[in-house]
Amino acid sequence: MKTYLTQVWDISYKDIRLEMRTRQMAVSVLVIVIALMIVTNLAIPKSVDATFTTTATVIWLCILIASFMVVMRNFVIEYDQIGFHGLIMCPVPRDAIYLGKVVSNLIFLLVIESILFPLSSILFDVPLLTPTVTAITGMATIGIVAAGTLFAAISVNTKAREIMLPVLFFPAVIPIVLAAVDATQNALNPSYGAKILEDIGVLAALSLAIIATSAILFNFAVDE
Amino acid sequence: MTNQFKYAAIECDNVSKHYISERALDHLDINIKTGERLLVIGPNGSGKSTLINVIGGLIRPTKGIIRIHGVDIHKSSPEHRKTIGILTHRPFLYEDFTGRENLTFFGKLFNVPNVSYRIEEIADLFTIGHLLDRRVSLLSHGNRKRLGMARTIIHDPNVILLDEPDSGLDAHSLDELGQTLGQTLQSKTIVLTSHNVDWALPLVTDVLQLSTRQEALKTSIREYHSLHELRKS
Amino acid sequence: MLLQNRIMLGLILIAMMSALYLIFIMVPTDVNLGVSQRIFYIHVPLAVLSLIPPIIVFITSTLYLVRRSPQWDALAHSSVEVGLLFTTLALVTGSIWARPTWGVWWTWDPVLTTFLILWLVYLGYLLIRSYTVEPDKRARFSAIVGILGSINALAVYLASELWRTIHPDKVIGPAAEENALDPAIQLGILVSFIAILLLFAYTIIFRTRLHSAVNQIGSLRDQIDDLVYRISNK
Repeated sequence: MKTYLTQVWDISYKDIRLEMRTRQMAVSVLVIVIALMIVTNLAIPKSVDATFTTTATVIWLCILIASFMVVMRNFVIEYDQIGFHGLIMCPVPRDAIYLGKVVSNLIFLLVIESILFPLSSILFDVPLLTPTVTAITGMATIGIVAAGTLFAAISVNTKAREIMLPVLFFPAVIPIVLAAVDATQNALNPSYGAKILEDIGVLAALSLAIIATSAILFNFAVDE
Repeated sequence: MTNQFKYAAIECDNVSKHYISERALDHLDINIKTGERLLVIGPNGSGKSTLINVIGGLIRPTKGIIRIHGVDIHKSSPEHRKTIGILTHRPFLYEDFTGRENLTFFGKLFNVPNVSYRIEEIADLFTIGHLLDRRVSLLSHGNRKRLGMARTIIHDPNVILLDEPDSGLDAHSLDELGQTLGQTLQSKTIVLTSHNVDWALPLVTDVLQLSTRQEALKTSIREYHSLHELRKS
Repeated sequence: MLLQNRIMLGLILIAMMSALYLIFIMVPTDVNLGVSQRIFYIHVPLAVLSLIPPIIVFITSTLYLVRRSPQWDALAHSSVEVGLLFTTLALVTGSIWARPTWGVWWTWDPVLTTFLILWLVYLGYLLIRSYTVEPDKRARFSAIVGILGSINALAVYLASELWRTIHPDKVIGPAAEENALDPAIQLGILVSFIAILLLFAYTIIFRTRLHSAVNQIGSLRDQIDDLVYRISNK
């Protein structure tokens, strides 16, 4: 068990170091996400009642796009630099490779979110930096990343990787993104109360289900 | 490790690999004993690279079974891969990492004890100590190949598979590689492909000739020489 | 096989004709919804049957990954094709009904959204097939997409059950009260459901046979290649 976790961490740590070397991905994702935030914010009409809904929607739209770019980029780097065979030849279980990728993708996204949330907190004038919103974001991000990592592993192996990933990824994460939007706007609403714990529980269950299924299916995705 | 002596190091049992439009290997049956060093020769398209990849478990054969020390490579545990070191036409090195970072990463995944010491040791072997802290993307093709060799044997595998390890190397590096293969790795089971037969022949004990028609002929080095003489006269 | 096909098609034709007769002549016009309500006799069976393929796909895809036999892949593939057809028709017929009744072609109702997502998942499945060249890789990838897609469909369906919906209640099926409907209406629903179920089963069987035949031709061609190769070499 300990070696398994070490292997998972070795793989994620390698991805993080690679990214630290160039920081290309973090910067480009941030530029795109902030641009997206400006566009959506200007396009959506302002009304006091809808602030929470608007904020939640815009934020999750941004996170969805960011996670799509992160999971894709991470696998393309792996594929282009050494090819997937480079990891397959190692004495590491396939699901450890998958979990390693999930962890590095998750860390990338958490970094992006830690910039995105204070920023939108200011831009939308909504208190986003609360424990409940953080918990919701963490739980939902795990599920989104878990699904994205599996689909990215498949997509890089097809003829049209840049088309295949969004086609598979976006419809697949609709349930969890909808649940996250719903939970976020509830969390922002002070009158919603303690029922928010239920929402977080649903998100955690969804994420857990996705990550478990995907880890099993990943064994078949890279089976050459 | 008891298996190591009971079974052939590498056993190809009726192995075929067909791609959509061509066949690379066709009903190949070979046994490679522990300590044997096999040179695979043949024209382009005869399936040399495919053979290396299939034995290394990177490509699943269309038909047939590969056994390493008696264990089916596609059904064995990941641990079993520690017995294999493979160098394909891609050196499996991260371009944005330095040589040392690459070796450290793979050393850790292969569970090499005392990785940093092992890296120094292996860098001496290939005299790449001065290159270790440069980014791989800045290295020449030949130096990448040497670094790739170092990566291949970092975990001290018993079975070493090399796909054209000599391509792109200058005369000096060729000598060095020849010495490493001939002396340091003398007790290992080695399969290598090469176009440079004159360089490779002195290093091996057996020769496998593949043809574009996927016919395979395995001979000992002595038989190969006498066949060669016969053909000349 | 030809005779079987003809019998099957004959049965479908008879069932379809009787369903049409019942729908347009026998069944009384709905008091509240008017003539437009008659499209329900087609729409409801289509929509209900659209939910069956995810179940088939989940089972057959899992079996494929475990057994690696192409017939499971063929069955999964054809259920998705038929599922896509039925989902499209359900969306179209629903939309035609919604226009006079709700005044809009489309509304973001959970049930409607579920079907739209299901439709996208089916398309994704067919796209991954067409973008992957090697046959066994194609089967593997689509099995993975199929399994996750059907779980996703289930999740969306369950979620839509929880959400409030303006979609009309399901007045048929075990949940509906027995005496809620006129006997003519009940007969109309039953017959059109049977007709469309037959069509559903027939198209899946037909497509599966077709895909299996394509697979067989592929492996026969391999064998011929093998023979030719052997003869020309020896």
